Parts: sequence; structure tokens; C-alpha cells
Amino acid sequence: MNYAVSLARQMPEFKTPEDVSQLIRHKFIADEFKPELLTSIVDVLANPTGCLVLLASKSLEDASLPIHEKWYKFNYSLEKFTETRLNELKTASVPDNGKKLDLPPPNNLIAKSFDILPEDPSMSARPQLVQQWDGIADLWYKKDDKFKKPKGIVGCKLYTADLGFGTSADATVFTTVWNRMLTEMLREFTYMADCAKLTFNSSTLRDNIDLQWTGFNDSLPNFVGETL
Amino acid sequence: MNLVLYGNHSLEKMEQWATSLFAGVENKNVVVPDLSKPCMPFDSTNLGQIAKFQPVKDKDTIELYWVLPHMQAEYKAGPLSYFSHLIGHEGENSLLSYLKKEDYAMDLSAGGSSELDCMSDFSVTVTLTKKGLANYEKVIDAVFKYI
Repeated sequence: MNYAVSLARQMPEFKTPEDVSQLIRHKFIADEFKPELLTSIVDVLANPTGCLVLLASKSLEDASLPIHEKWYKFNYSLEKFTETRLNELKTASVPDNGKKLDLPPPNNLIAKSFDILPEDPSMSARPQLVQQWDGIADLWYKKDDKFKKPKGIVGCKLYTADLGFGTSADATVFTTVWNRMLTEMLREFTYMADCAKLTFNSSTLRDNIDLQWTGFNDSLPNFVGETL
Repeated sequence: MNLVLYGNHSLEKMEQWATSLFAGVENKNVVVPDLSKPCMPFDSTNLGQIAKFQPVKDKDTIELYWVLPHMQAEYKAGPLSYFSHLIGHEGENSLLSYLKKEDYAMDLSAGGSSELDCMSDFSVTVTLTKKGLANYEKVIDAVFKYI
């Protein structure tokens, strides 16, 4: 329903039949490349004279916020950038911290094939136990022949009692922090994946660590491999 | 009135529903006001400055906001999408990664929108850490450096 509402909201902007034919498409595809238009936008964004900065924090002292907003009833301050500050921003420099400020690198996780795999009732009727490693791991596979999407899901559950996993409050705190660190450590990589419509999620459950990947059949194996 | 029907029924069936269910909506021939005359909500007197305020939520943020000419008619070129993608990027070489390395930011978003048929805007919003709040001028530097 949200999708129908968002399209209806945009329709007044798409007045002619030619416009309406682009209603769905324009969000995903830039049919025209207009470098001069992009340059004109950069010129606006790079100019601090045309920028309004809003800094919000509860820690700002009332005494430093001399103006009172009568309708919303809050205090604020306004301060013009000085000439010196404007010049600093026009030629902004930042200390090198090892992280480059540059264009994103090429994304090698983008799927190239969107073919639907041929139907195979022997694999899609019910989950198949494909392989077992004695006492260590089971590998299950269930093919989907119903939804006809070029996509798959890979799930991996690690059952462990290491470091008291799942047995104490301390261990739960530890694994929760560990999981957040893992997510942060993989942030740049999973963002690239997200741009290629691949997702990775890890969660710590009661007695297992649950890893899940979703995405296109074509790019998923590489994605799972690179994550691990 | 604009109507969207979205479903997995046949087009004939949905057209039939659209007609039978919505034909009764009266056309009042309302003249929609023309708001397309360029109108800039901010000018040089109130841009090029910083406003500081206490929010209701206990969350430290900094937002950089620019006013642009109306971009909606350029939807085939999607110019603002380039900037929301690049400035809002969170992978290698991104502004967010730089700010995180400095312990200044928790998250960052960037995007534009078009308003009232007459103007567009673009903003970059960074959720600050305590260190980022103390060094907010350096956060502004980094945004301009990236641009």
C-alpha cells in the first residue's frame, strides 16, 4: 500500500502521458546525463555563503541561545559565518586520518545475470539434506520454484557454548557487543553490498549465532565468501 | 485527482474496479494554484550562517542545508540523486567513514527534495558523537572538503 500511496503522491508532478510513462522508471534510471546541471549544483553546494547550518544539542547552554522562538517556544542563536570562516570553508582542508574522501570504488558485488533457475521438483518439493559433516555440521537446501525470482537466501547458524554463550548475563552482553563490533567492522563492505541489493545480517540468539545473506543468485556466492 | 491501483489482478479487472468504485467522485473543477513561480525561502541575509538550538530529543545532530532551483522537471537526469548517493555513501572513500575514523559521527544521511513546484533543497545531516559535537566545525570542514 505504501508503494501505491507514494506513486499517487508523485502523480501531480507527472502531467503528460509521456511523463506518466516515466513515473516508475525515473527513480531507478537516469536516462539523461547532464553534466552542466550537476556542475551548477556543485557550485551551490560548494559555496558556504549559500549554506545554512543547524546544530542541535540538548547540551547547549540556555545562556548561549539569546533568541526565543515564540510559536515553538525554544531558544536559539544565529551567527553569520565570518569572512575568514567562509574562506576556510571554500578551500576546506582536513587532517589525513588514513580514510580518503573520494568517489566510491567500483562495486564488484553488482549482479550481472538475472536468469531464473530452471524448475527442479526434486529439490523444491521439500528441504534436502545435501551434506553432513559427522557431528559438526549439516547443509540443507530448498530450491524455490514458486516465486520465480533470481534470488536466494543463505542462512548459517553457529551453535556454540564458547565463553559461556547463552548461559549468563555477562556472556549475553559480551556477544551483543561482539555482534555490534562485527556489524561496524563490516560496515563499508555491507554498504557496498546494500547498493547491489545484497544484505547481510548477524544476530545473537539464545543458543546460536545466526548469520543471514540475501540477494541475487549471481552475486550471492561471492558475497558470502567475501563476508566470511 | 490521481489514483493508483496496485495489485496482481488483471488490468481489465482493476480498470473495472477503478471505474465502478471511483466514478462517483465528483469533479469540482478545482483550479490548482500555480506555485511554480520561483520563490526562494532563504536569501543571502539568512544563509551563510549557523543556527544553534536545543532539540526535544537528546540527540546531537548537525545539518547543512542548501536551497536550489526547482529540479523536479529534470527527473530524467535525476541530478540530486548523484549527490545523495555520493555524499551519503557509507563504503570505502566515504565522508561517513572519514568522520567515523575521527570518532565524530554515528550516522549520516544526505538527500534533496522539491517543494511547491518552485524550489528544491538539499541537506546533509550527521548524528554526532560527543567528540563530534565538540568538534562540529571540523565536521563542517569535512563536508565541504568532500564536496
